[in-house]
Amino acid sequence: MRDTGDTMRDTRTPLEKQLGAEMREHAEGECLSFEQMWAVAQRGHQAPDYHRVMRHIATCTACRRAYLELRAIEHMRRRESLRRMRQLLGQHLAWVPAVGVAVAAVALAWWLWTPRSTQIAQQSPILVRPEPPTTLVAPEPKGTSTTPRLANETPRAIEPPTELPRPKTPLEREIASLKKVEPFIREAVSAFTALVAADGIRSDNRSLQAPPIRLLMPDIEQNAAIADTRPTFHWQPIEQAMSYQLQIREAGSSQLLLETTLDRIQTHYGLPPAATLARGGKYELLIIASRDGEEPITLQRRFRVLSEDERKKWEWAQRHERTHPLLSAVVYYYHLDRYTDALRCLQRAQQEYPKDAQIARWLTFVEYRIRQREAEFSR
Amino acid sequence: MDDWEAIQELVKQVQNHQQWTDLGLDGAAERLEQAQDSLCRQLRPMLHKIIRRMVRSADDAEDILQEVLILVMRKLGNYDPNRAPFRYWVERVTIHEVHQHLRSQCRCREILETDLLDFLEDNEEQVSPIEREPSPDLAPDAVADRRERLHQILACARDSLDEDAYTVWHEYLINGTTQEDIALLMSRRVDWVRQTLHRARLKVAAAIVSHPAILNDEEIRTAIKRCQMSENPDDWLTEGELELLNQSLATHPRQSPGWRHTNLFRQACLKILKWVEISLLILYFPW
Repeated sequence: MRDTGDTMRDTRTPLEKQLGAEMREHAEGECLSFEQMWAVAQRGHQAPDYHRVMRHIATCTACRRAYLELRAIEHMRRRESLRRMRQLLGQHLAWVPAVGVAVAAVALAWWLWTPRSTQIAQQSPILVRPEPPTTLVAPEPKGTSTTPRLANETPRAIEPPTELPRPKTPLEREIASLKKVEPFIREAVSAFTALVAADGIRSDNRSLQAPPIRLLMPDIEQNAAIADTRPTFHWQPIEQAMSYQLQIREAGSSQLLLETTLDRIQTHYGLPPAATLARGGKYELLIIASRDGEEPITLQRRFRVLSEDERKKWEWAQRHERTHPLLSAVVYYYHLDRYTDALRCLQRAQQEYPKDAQIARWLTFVEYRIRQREAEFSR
Repeated sequence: MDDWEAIQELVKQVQNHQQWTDLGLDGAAERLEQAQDSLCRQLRPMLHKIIRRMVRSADDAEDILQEVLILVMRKLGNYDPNRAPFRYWVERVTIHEVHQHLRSQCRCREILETDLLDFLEDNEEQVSPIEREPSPDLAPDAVADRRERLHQILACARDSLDEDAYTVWHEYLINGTTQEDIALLMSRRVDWVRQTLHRARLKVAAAIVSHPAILNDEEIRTAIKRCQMSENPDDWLTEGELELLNQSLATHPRQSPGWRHTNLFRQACLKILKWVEISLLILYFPW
C-alpha cells in the first residue's frame, strides 16, 4: 500500500477490525469471471455488477489481483491510444487548415452555383437513379417494360425532399434489423447490386442451349457449387444409350479422380468414401452416353465444393432465409454460387413485398443466371 | 455441457494422465500428450477471445496466447479443482500474463494500480477462496456467541447504509485500506470516499449503540466510563455528547435524539465504539 503520511495509519477501531476479520471469512458471492471484472475495470461504478464486484474483491486476493491487473491493463491501453492519437495529430496537423479551407471553398462554390429554383427538379433523378450505392435499384433490363416501376416511383421523386419520408427498401430494412452486419454480408450486397446494375445491357432474348443430358442430382446444373463432399450423381436416361461412362477430375487438370462405366439402366452413381471430394475443391464432371451406331453424347460440367468458410456463410444464409430472405439471397448468389437457393429466397421476399420493383429485377437477374448456368454444359 | 464444462472435464483427464505418467504406466505418456493437445485446442479460441479484448495487436495477442498455453500446461498440476472452477484459474493466469507483457512494453511506469498489486504480494495474510484451505471448525461456544453478535452488527450496518456507503465501509473494515487507495480501487474521487466513509462509520456506530439486542445498557455505560478515562483527551466525550447518550439510555426501547442532534449523537457513538470492543473482550475473555 502506498505511503501517504497520516493515511498510512490504520484508523480502524478494534471493533471494526474484529468485524473486518469476520467479514473476511465470508467472501461475498462466488469468484468473478473475466467479463465481470473487465466491465468494472472499464466502466467503473457505472458497470452493472459494480458493488458486488467491489465487495468480493475486498475478501478474495486472487480476484483482487486480477482486477487490479485489469485496471492497470486498461490504463496502459488508454495511454497507448492517447500516445498514438498525439502522434497521428502531430503528423497530420499541418494539413488540417489546408483541408478545412479546401472543403469550405468547395461547399461555398457548390452553394453559389446551384440554382435555388431548380433544386427540387434536380433532386428527383437522384431518387429514381438506379445506382446501387444509393437506392440499390438496378437499371431495367432491355426488352422489359419499365412502366409499372416508373409509375410507382416517379410521383414520389418529384415531391419536395422535405415531404419525402425516404422509405427504406426491404433490403435496407433487413440490414437494419441485424444486430451485427458481418463484412461478408456487406460485400455480398454491394457486389450483387453492382452486378445487377451492370447487367442492364444484356438481352433476355439470347437463346441458351439446353444440356444434352439432364442432371437431376446434385443440382450443379443450376448451381456452380455444392455443399456435399460425397454427392450422388443422378441423370435422366438417354434413349438408345448402351452404357454410361462417368469421370470426375480436378478442374484444369487431366488427373482423373474417378472413372467408372455403368450399364444403360444405371443412371445414378454415389461417390465411394475413397473418392470423397475436398472442401473448396474444383472439379469437372463428365458423363458420356455411348449409343449404338451413333455419336456418343457428352455432358461436361464444372462445379466446386463449398469450403469451410463458405459453409459457415451457407449456414448463416440458411438460418436467415425466413427472417432476412434478401440478404440470404445475395449471400447465396455472390459468395456461394448457389443460384437456386438465391432464387428461392427472392421468391419468398417477393411474396412478402409483391410490389417491390427491385426484388422483381433481382428475380429476373437470378433466373437468367440459372439459365446461363444450365447452358454451361460443355465447358 | 458448455465449452467451459467440457474444458473442466479435459483438465481432469489431463491431471489423471499426468498421475498415471508419473506412476510409469504403459502408454500413459502418449495419452497425456493427446489429452494436452485436446485441451490446448479447446482452450485456444476461448483464451484468444479474452486476450484480444485486452490487447489490440494481433501479433502480441498470439504471442501471449502461446505463453499462456505453455504456462497453463506447466502449472496445471498446481490447479486444485476443489477450490475453484478451472475457468477462473485460467482467466487469472491469462490476465496476469497480459499484464506482465504490456507492463514490459509500456513506456509509462507510473501505473497506480501496481502499488496496490505490490502491496498484495507483500501481504501474505489475505488468502482468497481460490487459494484458501478449508476453514478449521471454530467450535468453542464463546467464539460462536461473539460471532453471532458480530453478525448482528453486520446486519445492522447493512440495513443502515446504502450500496455505495456499505461497499466503501466494507473495503475499509476488511483491509483497513486508506481513503486514497479506496478511491483508486473503486474509481471514485478521494473526497467522495472520505465523506462517504466518515458518514458510514458514524451511521453504523449510531445503529450499533441504538440497537438494544446488540449491546445492553451496562455494556454501553462501561464503554462510556472507559472512554472518559482515556489518556487521550480527544477521545473524551463532550458534555453534549454525554447527555445525548444518557438520554438515549434512559428511554426504553433506546431512541436516537431528534434530527437537530443526530450528528452529535453519531459522533458520540463513534467515540465509544472502540471501548465497546474492549467491553466485548472483557465479557468473553476476562483478564
